[in-house]
Amino acid sequence: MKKLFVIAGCALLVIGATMCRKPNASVLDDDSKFDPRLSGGMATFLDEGSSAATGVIPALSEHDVRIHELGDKFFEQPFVAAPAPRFGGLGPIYNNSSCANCHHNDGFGLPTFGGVGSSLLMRISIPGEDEHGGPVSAPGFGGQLQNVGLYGVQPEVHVDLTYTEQAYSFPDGDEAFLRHPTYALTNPYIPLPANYMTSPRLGPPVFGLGLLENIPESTIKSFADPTDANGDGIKGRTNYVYNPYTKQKELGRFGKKANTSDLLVQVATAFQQDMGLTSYVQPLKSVHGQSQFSFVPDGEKIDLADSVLNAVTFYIRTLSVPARRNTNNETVKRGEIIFKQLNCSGCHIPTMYTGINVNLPALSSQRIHPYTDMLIHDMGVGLADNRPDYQASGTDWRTPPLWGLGMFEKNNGTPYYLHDGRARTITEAILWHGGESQQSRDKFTQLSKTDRKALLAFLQSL
Amino acid sequence: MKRSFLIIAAASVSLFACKKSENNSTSTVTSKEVITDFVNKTALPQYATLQAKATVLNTAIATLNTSPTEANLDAARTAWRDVRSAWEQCEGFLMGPVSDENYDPNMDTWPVDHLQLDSFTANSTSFTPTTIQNLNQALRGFHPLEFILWGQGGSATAATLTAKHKEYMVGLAQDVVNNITALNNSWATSGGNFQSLMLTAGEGSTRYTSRKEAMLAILAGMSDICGEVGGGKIFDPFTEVDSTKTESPFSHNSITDFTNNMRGAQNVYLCNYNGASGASMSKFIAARNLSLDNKIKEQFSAAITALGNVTVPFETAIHTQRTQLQNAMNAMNTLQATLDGDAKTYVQTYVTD
Repeated sequence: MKKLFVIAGCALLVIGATMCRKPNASVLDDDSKFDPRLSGGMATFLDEGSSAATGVIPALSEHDVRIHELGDKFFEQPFVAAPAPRFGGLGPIYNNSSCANCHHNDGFGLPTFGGVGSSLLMRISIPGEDEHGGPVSAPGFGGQLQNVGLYGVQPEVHVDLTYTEQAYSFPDGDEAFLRHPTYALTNPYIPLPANYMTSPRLGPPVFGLGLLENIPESTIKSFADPTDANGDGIKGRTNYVYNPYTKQKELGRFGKKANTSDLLVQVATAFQQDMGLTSYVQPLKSVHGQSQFSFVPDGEKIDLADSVLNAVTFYIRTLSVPARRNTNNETVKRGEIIFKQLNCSGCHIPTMYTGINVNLPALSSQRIHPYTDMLIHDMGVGLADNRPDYQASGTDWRTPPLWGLGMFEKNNGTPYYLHDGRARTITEAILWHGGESQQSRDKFTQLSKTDRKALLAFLQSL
Repeated sequence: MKRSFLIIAAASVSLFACKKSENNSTSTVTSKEVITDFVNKTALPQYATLQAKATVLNTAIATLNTSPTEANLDAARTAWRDVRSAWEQCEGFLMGPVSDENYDPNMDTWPVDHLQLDSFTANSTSFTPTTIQNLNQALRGFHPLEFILWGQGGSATAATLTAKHKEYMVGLAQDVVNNITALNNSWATSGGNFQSLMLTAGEGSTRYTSRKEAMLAILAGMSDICGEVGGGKIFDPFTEVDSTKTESPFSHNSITDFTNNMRGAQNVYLCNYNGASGASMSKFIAARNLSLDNKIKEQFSAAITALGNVTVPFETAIHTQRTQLQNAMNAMNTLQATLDGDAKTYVQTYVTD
């Protein structure tokens, strides 16, 4: 009992001492007091090479590094058909056979369907809401289309992707070409339901997600402005989504529409939906209740050992963020000012702190620069998939983090941007911004060539 | 990949080192020469060898298909080992298209997916390079081909090859050739021209904005293969004492694979592939730190020697020669630590363009 008083006394002393120093927010937010390269705080990887996105967070214990590496191996391992002595349980229909085939070098893959390096998948639903407020599965197809099958198994559909190019001219005469994608579903194994809605998704980079998972909910909520009270045209909203493991509604953080709340479910659902592998979190085959289930040799059983799912989740959670480069370059600094002047930072919020995490100190109370508010925004009709996902409407998308943006080319060869990879350059990606971001996009087009270059130089330094 | 500690250490050391007054001795070779000779004397010739060996394999498989004799099976096995030798050496520089475009996993994924392979070869569907190209990676490339040529436990003979095995084998060999041709094209000036992204490092290359980046990429390629062999290819089957996870279990070629991996990285370091001489990373480092250069050379030799001390197939060695395997892994870890530590610091310090 006495101990408690001592502890309470100490706590008071700490609080008292803290109050005496009166730290004001501006000191903490003054960038000059911090190394600008450390986008992920302690969880930053100081490497400029092509494996900059694949670094484990520094200062992990030896034991934790071992778990991380175990997860890394399963992340890269192509799975095969069951029954197999190793790595069985793929399919019988799927999108790809390993995590790394879509999340190449922990980044992304190609914006194509059905190939080994293809990183695009298609979600599907019919109008309405399910019992948790989420999208209604398409009967016979589930919530996601699996467009590849094991040998002898017919996939659900074939997806054709074609682009039409349209030129855009800047006021100063510079040109850019925007690719409008068109998707067509062909050869469905059974007729597609009437009024079906689809949404293409390009597999995103997977680094830094442990930090994003550890941003306090209160911080994310503090960014929200659903009624646009400050009149800047930007209304960030939260998405609350059903967590099938905790069986609760939780704040959505991951997925293109913030439609998943934590990394465990994100990883387990990717295993289940993208690869057909079941786990303790997602125990049913993606073909549950469909005719392709006859190709599952041993019925419903758990394909992934619990420790494998946990190790892969831990791997994702402990991937560090590539450090920024050229932060002292004058053009880059000028670009950073323009980024704020155009209010890109209204959604791509530069700086925030993670919460306390006693298990992983490198993720705990870190000052990070993810350039996202983790909220959903109306991005206009040009980008719309017209398929609602919980509170996210058909025009809403979650602000993607921009950290590591400048490493995409080095990490993945040709870089692709936006939810479906339609943009091939950062300029194209900016030009696609509509809805709440229309004002910032329009101001971008009005910039002088020098200032546009400076902005891009800044983005490339992330 | 746990290189981060060293990198932070290296970064802080290099900052400190920059403040020192410049050493008066000058490099006998420049970073530009090292990058240029890496491309022209190491990477491109090794890929050219790979292409030639793959073509030989394809011909040998075609011969075996039309005339399934023991002699032709032996010839096909030799051709397979030869192309593996070339490919594993090319893994000493896994950078650019080979990993960006998945050429590596598309031809070198293991373990083989037995169940589907058996259901294929019992099935009447035809195999063309196009159908094979769309298969799961565990059914493409060198290792399914190895399975057909050797069989479980090396039990295959010319007489046991079924018509479907042969058809699949022909498709696999052609798919490997196609994959390697595409890989070569991705570096060629007439194709993807990745070589120019390296050659113009620091002079407009979008991939390598400075020569330091390109030099670090070359160094990282050497380090990565040490890590892959020491920390994966040997480590996983070794720790789990599981011979179903080894790289080339049917041909018992795994130790040769690992040795060629190390030779490939050594070729990059010394720039002496096929007797060539050129501006090497070795000379670049020796100019200001001879003992570091000697250390790296010795550690390369030590790793290759350690692998040579394994006298039985890897699949057996994980049970019976664990000390030798442990020594080999230790040698690779030591080399990797030098490459990621002192060598990287050196490059970060002395490549200033």
